[in-house]
Amino acid sequence: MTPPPGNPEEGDALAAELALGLVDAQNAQAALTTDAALQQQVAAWRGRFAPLYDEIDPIEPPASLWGRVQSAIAGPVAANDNVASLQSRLNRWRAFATGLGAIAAALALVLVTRPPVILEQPPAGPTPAPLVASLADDQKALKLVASWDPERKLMVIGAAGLASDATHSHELWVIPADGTPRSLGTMPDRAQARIELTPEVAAFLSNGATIAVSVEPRGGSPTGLPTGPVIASGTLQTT
Amino acid sequence: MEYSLTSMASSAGTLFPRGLASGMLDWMDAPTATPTPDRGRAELADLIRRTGTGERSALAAVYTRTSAKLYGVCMRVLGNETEAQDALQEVYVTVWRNAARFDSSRASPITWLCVVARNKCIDRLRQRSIVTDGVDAAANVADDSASAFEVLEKDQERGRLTGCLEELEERARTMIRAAFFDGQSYSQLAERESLPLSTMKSVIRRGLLRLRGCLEQ
Repeated sequence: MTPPPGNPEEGDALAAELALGLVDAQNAQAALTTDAALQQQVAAWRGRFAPLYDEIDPIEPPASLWGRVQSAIAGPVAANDNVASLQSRLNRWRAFATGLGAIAAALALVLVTRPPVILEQPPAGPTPAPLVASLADDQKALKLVASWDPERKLMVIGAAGLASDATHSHELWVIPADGTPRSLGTMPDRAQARIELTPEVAAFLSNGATIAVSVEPRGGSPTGLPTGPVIASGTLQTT
Repeated sequence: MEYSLTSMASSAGTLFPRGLASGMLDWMDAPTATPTPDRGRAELADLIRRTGTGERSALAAVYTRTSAKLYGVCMRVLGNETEAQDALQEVYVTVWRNAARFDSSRASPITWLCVVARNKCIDRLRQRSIVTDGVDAAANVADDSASAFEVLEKDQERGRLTGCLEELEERARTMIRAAFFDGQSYSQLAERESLPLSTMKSVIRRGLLRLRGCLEQ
């Protein structure tokens, strides 16, 4: 497999074969790791074939994949992770866990002390029950709790681990039984938010509906449907 | 209560005008529609650079912009959703760990990412076909070596590849494309075409060297 000395043509053919992956890896890869000139030739061949990637059409991967990537890089083997950032995430998580208890307690209080059902309610429809969804990604670095109070048309969100950036927003969606996501708005850059929903959107919040968070261009999805990866999801359930 | 979700993002918020992100997405979806592909390229290169410093939100942004393209690459080479999804996950983990190896002066960021993705897929194909003990370990070592991430694009060659492939004899062209898009090895191509392995090698080698000659004209 190694080219005879003094035959540059052979050497470059080998480089092309390596770039394409035509040869089975073992001994060829061994040559590649020790031969700097060959490495450069392989790099050049990879670049030569680059226009062929233009022939490949993009395919949207399943929404769950970003969560899998996050899980994989959250492990202890992540080379570029550092102890400080892990520690700060842990601290944030602890603060959040404490805060979450407070939110839950406050919410419980709201539900217990809210005024009794008024008689103007249509007699046929039973009072809609409050709903709660817990959202998390696979490794629980990201956690959200969405609580829906149908009486007040108010959604309370508690979040931890949402790392937004200057070019992106996190957008909240409800996916009812028909499978079409409806936007609940973008997440404010705060750990706790109250979102008032219009009756049209609120109508989609029902027991068993999915709540999801996607990464979108800053300001929210330009299309009205999720365009970026879904990083967390959960199911709305009665308390 | 303060959980500092996005303190980093809000402090950097004024650096990037609103609308840049959606411009990027347009560029990814329809390269011909954008007036400024260079800006998209520069932004993606910067996101990879930031990923190399361990910035998770930068990796998320790289994923948003490129996952559909790279999933397309994985599906094309592996031809199987489960395998392609496993490969795509590996690709972004590899990008996370090796983003610092990307050199924007040598290759465009999307080419670099496509090469990383295709190499991952080829590794999977070879691991699938060879079940000898120890091959997994060997493949992992090869994968982590710096040479696996080197890509050099020469602008003067870029527009010529299609034309130069057309000039090859048909069999060589077909075989080279099958190697690129389907990840077929010499032995698989020889079997597929019912040709002796040595004949297949010389057909492809001759084609590759003619291709280089044409590109360098």
